[in-house]
Amino acid sequence: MKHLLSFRQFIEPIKYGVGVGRVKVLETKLLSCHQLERLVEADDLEEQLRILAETGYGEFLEDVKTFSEVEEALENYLKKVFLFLSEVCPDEKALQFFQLKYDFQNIKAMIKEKYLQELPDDPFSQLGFLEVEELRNLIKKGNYQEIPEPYKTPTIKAIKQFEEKNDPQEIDIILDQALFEELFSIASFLKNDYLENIVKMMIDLANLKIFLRAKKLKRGRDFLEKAFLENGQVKKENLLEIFHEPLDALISLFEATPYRKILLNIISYGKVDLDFFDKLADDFILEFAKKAKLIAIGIEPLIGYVIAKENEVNILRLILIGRIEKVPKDKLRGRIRELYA
Amino acid sequence: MESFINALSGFHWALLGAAAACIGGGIGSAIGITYIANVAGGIITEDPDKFGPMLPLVGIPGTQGIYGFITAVLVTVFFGLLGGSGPKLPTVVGFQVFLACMPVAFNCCVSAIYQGLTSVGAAPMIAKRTEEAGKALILPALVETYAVLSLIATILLLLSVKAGMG
Repeated sequence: MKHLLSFRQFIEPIKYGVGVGRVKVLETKLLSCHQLERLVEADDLEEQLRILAETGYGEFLEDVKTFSEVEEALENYLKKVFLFLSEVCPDEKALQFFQLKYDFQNIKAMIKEKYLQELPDDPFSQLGFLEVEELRNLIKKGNYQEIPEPYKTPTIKAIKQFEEKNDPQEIDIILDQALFEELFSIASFLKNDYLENIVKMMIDLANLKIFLRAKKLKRGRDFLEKAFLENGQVKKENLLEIFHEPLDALISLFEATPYRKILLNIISYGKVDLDFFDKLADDFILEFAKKAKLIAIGIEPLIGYVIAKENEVNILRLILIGRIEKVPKDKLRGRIRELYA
Repeated sequence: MESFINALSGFHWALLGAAAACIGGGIGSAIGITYIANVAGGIITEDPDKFGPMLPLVGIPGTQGIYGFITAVLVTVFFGLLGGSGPKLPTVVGFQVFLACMPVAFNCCVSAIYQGLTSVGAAPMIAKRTEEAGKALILPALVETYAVLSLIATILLLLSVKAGMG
């Protein structure tokens, strides 16, 4: 009854109608398992590009040959997806939701570049909200006050902490916490349960990873205490309580939660496979994101589509770069994430 | 109650009823079509070949506006509003005509809006599989039932009012 009379359902078809209509058609053009299998089976990059020429990726991947050209082409493709989202979604915050992680990733790399003369493994991402060269100059020259919020405060805090403790990990911890706080505040601002649940899952899975990494690298409880991300469903006290216990205690703690399956898959004989955890965590979030396909109207199908595209691009990156680096086909298959389609 | 009924003449009550039916159906249809037309616009932007299969789905919330219009025409025809005998209509009869128009006025307004929402829910079926257009149309068509029933009720009520006039 509450749903029948909610005002939202009368507004959303007008607000998101065109976007949802476009997304419902575009969802039919997402890569299928069959196409992925053909890509994995392809003998070289050229053959892969021939297969992709039939898809929307064709025009972006024309004549790419090297690792960096593939990266650039896929980044340009995602840029187009973000542009699509900005066209069809009247909530500016929705686009920011996706751009934030690229901005924070760039800021981390730029701070490390400045203080540690450490060149980033990957080039700076152009997918963020902030203009890369401008941001780089601001950080290089120390003009942090000119960085817009919500980036300014955590950047200043991260640099201050780093200067005090001389520990590069401080930069990652502070900026990760700021990123997830901002994602959560966007989900709350949009008052959308679907988005809020996704953020909570991301936070929980990130906390689980922090816990597992701390155990694996034999860090102390204080690392977990410091790096823990707020706003998730997993409580910090519960994780701290079992920190010194064997990993089985972690499985018992998550017995009644959906995360149990992930833990069972990555923990074997007291050892943890963190790479496999990343894959399972991505699959887990994608599985939840797929619920958007059942929602007739609202922001959910738009968000779900962009999540699907990001996932698809990540899979393609793995497959294309895997072929350039001559990774065996079976190994490649094992790394591939689930599909949204 | 009597003073309320006597606030308007029979002619005015009948006009009000006919206008309410037309306005209610019209508003509902306009909103319902806007909902589904938005989604259809998006689908057709990406795949212009879907225009044909989408059209019945976009058109279906429009029927309530037609029912409102039919009601208004029936009132003017049955009670001679065009022929000049309107001003002679007794107040009680005019009020009865007004009441007889209410099923269409309200039901068509609400059902057209909800039919638009149901069509929005059914549109992805066509976006994904054009061959399922028939099934997609059945779901909002079920909402139509109640608009049709309200039109039948209004017609029967108008006929009974006319029969009562002798």
